[in-house]
Amino acid sequence: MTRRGGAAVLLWVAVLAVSMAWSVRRLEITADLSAFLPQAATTEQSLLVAQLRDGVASRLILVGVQGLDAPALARITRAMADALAADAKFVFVTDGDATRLERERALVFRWRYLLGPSVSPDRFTAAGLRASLDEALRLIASPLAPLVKPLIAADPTGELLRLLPALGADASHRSLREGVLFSPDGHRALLVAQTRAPGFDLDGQEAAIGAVREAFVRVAPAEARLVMSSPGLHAVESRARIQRDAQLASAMTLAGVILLLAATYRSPWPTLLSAVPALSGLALGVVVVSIVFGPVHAITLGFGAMLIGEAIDYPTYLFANNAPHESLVDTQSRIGRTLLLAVATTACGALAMLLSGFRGLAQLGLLILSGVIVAGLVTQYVLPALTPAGALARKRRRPLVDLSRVLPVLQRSAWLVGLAIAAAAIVVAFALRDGIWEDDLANVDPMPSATRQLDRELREQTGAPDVRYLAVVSGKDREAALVASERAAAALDRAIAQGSLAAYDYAARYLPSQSTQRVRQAALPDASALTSALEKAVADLPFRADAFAPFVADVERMRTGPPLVRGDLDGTALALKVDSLLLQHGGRWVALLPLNGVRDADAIGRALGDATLLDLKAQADALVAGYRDQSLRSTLLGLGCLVVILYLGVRSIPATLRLLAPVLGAVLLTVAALVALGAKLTIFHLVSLLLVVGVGLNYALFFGRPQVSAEERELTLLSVTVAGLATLIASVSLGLSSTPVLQAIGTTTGLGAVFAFIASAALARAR
Amino acid sequence: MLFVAALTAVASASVSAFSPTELMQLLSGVQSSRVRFVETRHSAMLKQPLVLSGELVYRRPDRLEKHVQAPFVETITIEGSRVTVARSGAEGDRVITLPAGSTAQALIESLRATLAGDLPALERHFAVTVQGTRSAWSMSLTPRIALPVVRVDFAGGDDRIQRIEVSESGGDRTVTTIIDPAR
Repeated sequence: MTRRGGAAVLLWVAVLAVSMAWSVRRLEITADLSAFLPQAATTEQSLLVAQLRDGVASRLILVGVQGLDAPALARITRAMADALAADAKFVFVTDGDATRLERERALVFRWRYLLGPSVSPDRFTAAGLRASLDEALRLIASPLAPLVKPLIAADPTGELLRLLPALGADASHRSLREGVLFSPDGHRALLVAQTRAPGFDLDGQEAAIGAVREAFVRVAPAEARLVMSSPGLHAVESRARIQRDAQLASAMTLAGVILLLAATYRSPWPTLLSAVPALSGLALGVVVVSIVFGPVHAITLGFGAMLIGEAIDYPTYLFANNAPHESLVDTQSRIGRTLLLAVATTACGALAMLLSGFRGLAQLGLLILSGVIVAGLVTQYVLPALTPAGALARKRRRPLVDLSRVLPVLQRSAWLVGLAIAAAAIVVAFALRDGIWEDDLANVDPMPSATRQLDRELREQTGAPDVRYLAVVSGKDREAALVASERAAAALDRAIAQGSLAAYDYAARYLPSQSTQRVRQAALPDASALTSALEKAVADLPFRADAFAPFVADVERMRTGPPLVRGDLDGTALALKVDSLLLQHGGRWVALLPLNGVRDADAIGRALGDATLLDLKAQADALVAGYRDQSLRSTLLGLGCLVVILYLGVRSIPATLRLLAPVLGAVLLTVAALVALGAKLTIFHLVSLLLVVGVGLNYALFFGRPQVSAEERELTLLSVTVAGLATLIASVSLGLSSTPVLQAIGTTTGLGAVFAFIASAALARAR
Repeated sequence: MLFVAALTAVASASVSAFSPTELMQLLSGVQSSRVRFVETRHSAMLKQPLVLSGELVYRRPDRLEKHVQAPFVETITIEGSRVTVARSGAEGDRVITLPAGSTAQALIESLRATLAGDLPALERHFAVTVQGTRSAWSMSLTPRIALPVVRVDFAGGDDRIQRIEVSESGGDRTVTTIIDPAR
C-alpha cells in the first residue's frame, strides 16, 4: 500500500465511521408526499399547498359500516362513535346522533342573539313577537311540550332552531335511520371523525385510522365490513407502499448487481470490493441529504437503488479495465481521467434535480450528486489501496452477456442508429406539439379508481365538503378577515339565489365579526322595551307575559355583555371549524369560504368582486406546469454544465460533439419510446432524462477512449456492458414498483440506459 | 255473615285483579282506531288552560296521527322514530327524527307502546302499575330515566283508553279525554 493510498483509506474509514454514527443518532425518515409537491410561487399557490397539507378536508375520516341489517349497523356505529369520542386522537366524532352535539348546542344557545343572521330590530317588536309566539303556542301544545317548554320560555323567537341547521347539528337534509346517519339505501351506517393530528402528520393520521379500525373490530361481528376514506388514509397507504417499494427496489438492485458482478469476476474479492464505493456513496449521501434537508424522504432512499446502479459503474470501469498482469494503480492512472470525467458528468446530471422546486426531488439530486462523487473518489483513491495484489489477476473475466459479436454489427449499422434517432426526433417534435406533459397534480400520487369512487360515495352520503372551489378573502387581522368574509358571504347568498351555487361555509357563521355582533347587539331592545312589547304581543294569546322572563334576561345579557370571541369556542367542535376556515398565512389573516355545488363558477367569480375565487384544481395544474417550466430550465442548465465539463475533459470541440451525439440521440429515443408507450411526461421523467445523459456519457466516454489493442477494446466492452447492466437492474427494480414516481424514474433510466449503450457503441467509436 | 261477605269480597277482588300483562294483551288486540279527543293543557306559562280538540288515529304497530282541529289546524304524525309536523299554509312538512334513547323518544314511547300493548317497550323507560278491573282499569307510568315528567296516568275500560294525564315536574299537566264514537 502506498503512503498516499494509506492516507486515503484512513480518511475514508474515518469519514464513513462518522457518517454511520450520525445516521444511527440523527437520521430521520419521512414519507410525507407533499415533499413532492412543488414549492409555490404565488399566494394562492402557497395557500393551495397549505390546504393540501392541512386543509379543511384533510383531517376528516369518513367511515362506513355495511354488511348487516340497519339496527345492527346502527349499534356498531353508535358504539364506535362512543369509543372514538372518548379518544384524544379525535376532536369531533359524529354518527348523526344530535345528542352528541350537546356542547355545541349549548354554546349556540348561549350566543344565539349574536350568531343569528336573522336578528333584527323588527323581530322584537310586539308584531314580530306575536308571529313567533303563535309558533310557540303550537309547540306548547305538542306531545313534546314537557321537553321544549324551557326552550320556549328562553327562546320564543326560535333562534336556536334557526341556527342549528347551519351547524350541521340538524341532520334533516341527510338520511337517518335508527337515529344515526345512513346511506339513503340503508345498507351503510356512516360516521365522520375529525382527527386532532393535521393532515400532513402521517404518524398521527395512521394512529387515528388505527383507532377507527380497533373500535370497529371490538364491537363488530365478522360479517360486518368497514370502509373508510380520508386524505390521511390515502397518504398513509401511499407511505407504506413507498417504503415497501423503496426497500424492495434497493434490495433487488443490490442483490442483482452482486449477482452480476459475481458472474462477471467469478471471484469474491472484486465482487465485494465493487460494492464498497457504491455503499460508501449511499451512506455518505444519505448523511449529506439529512444535514441539508433534515428528514430524508423514503423516496430518496428508494433512489439509493439508482445510486447503487450508477456508482457500481466506477469500480467496474476500474476492475474490468485492469489488464492481466497490470497493477490496479497503473490501471487507475490509465483510465483515471476518464473516470473522473464520468463522475463529474453524472454529478452534473443530478444538478437539475437539486435545483428543482420539489423538495423531494432536490433530495434525490443531492443524494446522487454527493453519492457519485464519494463513489468516484473512493474508486479512484481507496480501491487501489484496498485491493490485495493479485486479487484480480487470477480469473478470466467474462460479462454475463457477451456482446463482442454484437458490437461490430452495431458499429457497422451506425447509419441505422442515426436514422432511428432522426425518426425519434420527428416523433418527439410531434408529441411536443400535441402536448406531451402531464399537468394533473393528482397523477403525482393517484388514488386507485375504486378508492376514488368510495370517497365520492362517502362524501355525498355524509355531506362532507369536497373542496375544489374556495372563495378567499384576507385582512390585516382576524377582524378584518371576518368582515371581508361577511361581505363575500353576502355575495355568495346572491349567487345561491341565482342558482349558480348550492351552499358555502365560512368562519363568521360560528364567529361573526365584532362589528356584525355590535350591529346585532344594537338591534336588541332593552329589558323594559322588550317587556312592554311582550305584554302587547300576548294580549290575545293564552301566554302569560312573565312566562318569558328567561328570554328577557338572556336578551339583556347579550345586549350589554361582551361579544363572542374565539376563546369562547374552545372545547367545542366549532373551535376547530373556525380555525380551519380562518387562518394566519404569510403575515395576514385569510378567511376561506369552501363552496359546495358550484354550477357556474364564472358567475360566482363575478358576484364575489374583489374576493378571490380559488379553483384548487386549476391552481394545482398551473402549479405543476409552472414548476415544469422551471425544471426544464434547470435541466438545460445541468446539460450546459455537463457540456462544459466534457469540453474541459477532452479539450476538443469535435470530440465533445462526438461524445454528446449518441447521448442526446439516446434521450430522443427514450422520449419517443415513452410517447409510444402512451406515457404523459412528468417532471420525474424530465429529470430522469438528465440522469440518462449523465449515465450515457459514461458509456460514450469509455467507448470513445482511444483503444490501441484488441484486448483493450474487449476490456472496454466488458466494463461498459457490466455498467449498463447494473443501471438496467436498478432501473427495472424501480420500474417494477407500484409508486408512480419511482416507476417514472425507473422506466426512463432503463430505456435510456439501453438506448445510450446502443448509440454509444454505434456512434462513439474513437477515431 | 260479615266474615263471609268480607271473604267473598276478597275472593272476587283476587279473581278480578288485573295485571299489566293482561291489560297489554287487551290493548294489543286493537288493530287500528280513530277517536276524537279534547286536550286541556294547564301550564304556568299560560294565563288560562289551553284546550285543543281533534282526532287521534292509531294503526298497529307504530303509527299515530294527531289531527288538531281547534284552536289551530295541525297534524302530527309519529311513525317509528319519525315525527312529521304538517300544517295548513306552511310550505313543507317538518320532519324530525327522534334519536334512539333520547328523552323525546321515551316520551313518545309512553303513548305508542301503550297503544300497541307493548309491555317490554314500556318497561324499558317506565315502572308500570295497573289497578282496577278489566272493565275499569287505570295504569300509571313512572319514569325510570331522567324525564321532565313525573307520571303518566291512563284510565279506561276493556281495550279502550278514555283518559290520559301527563304530570310534569314543574306542576304543569295535560289532560286528554278520549271520546270513542264507535262504541
